Amino acid sequence: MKKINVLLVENDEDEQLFMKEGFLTTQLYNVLGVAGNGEEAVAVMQEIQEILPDLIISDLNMPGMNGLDLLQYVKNNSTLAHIPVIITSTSFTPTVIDKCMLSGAYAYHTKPDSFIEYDKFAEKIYHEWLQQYS
Amino acid sequence: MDENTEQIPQNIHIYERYRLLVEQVKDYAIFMLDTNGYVVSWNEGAQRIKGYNAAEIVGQHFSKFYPQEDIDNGKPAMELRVVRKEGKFEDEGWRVRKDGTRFWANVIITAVYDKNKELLGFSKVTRDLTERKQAEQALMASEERYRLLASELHNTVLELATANEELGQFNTIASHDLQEPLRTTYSYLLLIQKKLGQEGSPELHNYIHKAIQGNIRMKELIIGLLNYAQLNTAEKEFAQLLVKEVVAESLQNLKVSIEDTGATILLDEGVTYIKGNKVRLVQLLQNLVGNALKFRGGKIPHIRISCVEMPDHYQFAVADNGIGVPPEYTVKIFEVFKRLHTNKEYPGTGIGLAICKKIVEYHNGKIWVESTPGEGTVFYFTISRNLQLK
Repeated sequence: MKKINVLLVENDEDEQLFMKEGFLTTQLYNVLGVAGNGEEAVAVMQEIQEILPDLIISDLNMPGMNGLDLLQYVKNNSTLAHIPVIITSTSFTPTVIDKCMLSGAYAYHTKPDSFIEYDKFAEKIYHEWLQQYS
Repeated sequence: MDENTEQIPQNIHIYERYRLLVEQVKDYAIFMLDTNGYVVSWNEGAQRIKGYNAAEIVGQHFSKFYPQEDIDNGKPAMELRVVRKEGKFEDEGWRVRKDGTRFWANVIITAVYDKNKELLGFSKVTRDLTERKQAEQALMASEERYRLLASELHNTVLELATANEELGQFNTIASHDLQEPLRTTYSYLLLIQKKLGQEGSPELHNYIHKAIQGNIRMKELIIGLLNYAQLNTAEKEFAQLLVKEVVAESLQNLKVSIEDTGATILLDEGVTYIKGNKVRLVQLLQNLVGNALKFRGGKIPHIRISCVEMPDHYQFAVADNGIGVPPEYTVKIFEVFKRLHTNKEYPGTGIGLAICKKIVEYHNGKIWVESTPGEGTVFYFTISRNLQLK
């Protein structure tokens, strides 16, 4: 099975750890990096220019460049625009979700109830990915 | 000559007539002052307005009619100076009666000359305008009051706009900032539980279990409150809806509880189509039927949902055979966080019926409850027939 090169963007350090572990446990992803906000995500992509991520999964609420800012940055950058961006948040406010989708998000997922359920979360996203891209 | 001799008695007659006329005028104080300002004549009106009779006042100086501060400022003398120069002086201001009370006067002082343009004295006509002045003052006061009210209203509108904006921000805070730390503690509690596995005392496991339950409950409260707050801010969207479909969808969401309790649910559909917001109406019926299932008091729930057409609205009823609502709580149950039972008896957030009320108000309707404790409850709600499709 082809692994997805994913860039994770999440500002909570505890959550970063569990998120990465959850994604790796599934054996379905290469985690290219874990960034703390939009600026860091852009820096990571500039650093490893030869491998662009297949997928960016970004938290919405982050200090500095937040998920929506990062989404807009990616969609307005010709070399990055093709990369699907999934926005995650604990928020399920319809106006927030609509805004993300209108800004070009590939999907909006509310975060799993706890950090230790990221493996299931990662599997679900992988299966959606397969249906869409294979 | 004949003409002149004829004229004199006639003139006397005319003077006498004028004197009587002036003396008897009641609404105006009309009197004469000599060249130095001493009163030389007095009329009925002057007595009525100022309170002195002729015997008391004739020979007195007219400054007696002025308030002390005017006398101190030399106002009476100033007026006479003006009249000497201009021939006339008109003024409105406070004057003093014999008994010391004040009245608002319109005053006209005119210089009186003889044939040789020699100053004889002054005529003074005074009107009591106290009522008009009081009316003016009352009007000004009431205008001032309205101006204050209008400015208060304006401030209130601004404050409300701010409060609304803050409510919007509250949504973001509730959905993210409050949930994030809660998720962190929840995650670590689960992790502790997982790491402990079979180890640790049953007591310890119980503590962790309780902490996790508290965490879950807090999350439910936040989400409930958020749902409630969102109902305030959302734009109204209405569509043509099939009653049967709305009911079916709400029952579908309650499938597990319906099966678990063995409930029978009847739909008495007096109306086929209504206008409303589907998502919200599904939530409304789901909350009401959900309550009927929950507060069943050990019985098998029999629930009947009905809908009838009224001139201005559709009226729905959700009737059950559950524990009922005590009469003293039939209004309070629609308040946020109002709960009648302990969490152990009937778990819940206390937001469900508050949300129902908001949804009904969103449809320009009303919600109320009729109940016989121990026998059952009927929740009624109306939704307007005049909602604009959008």
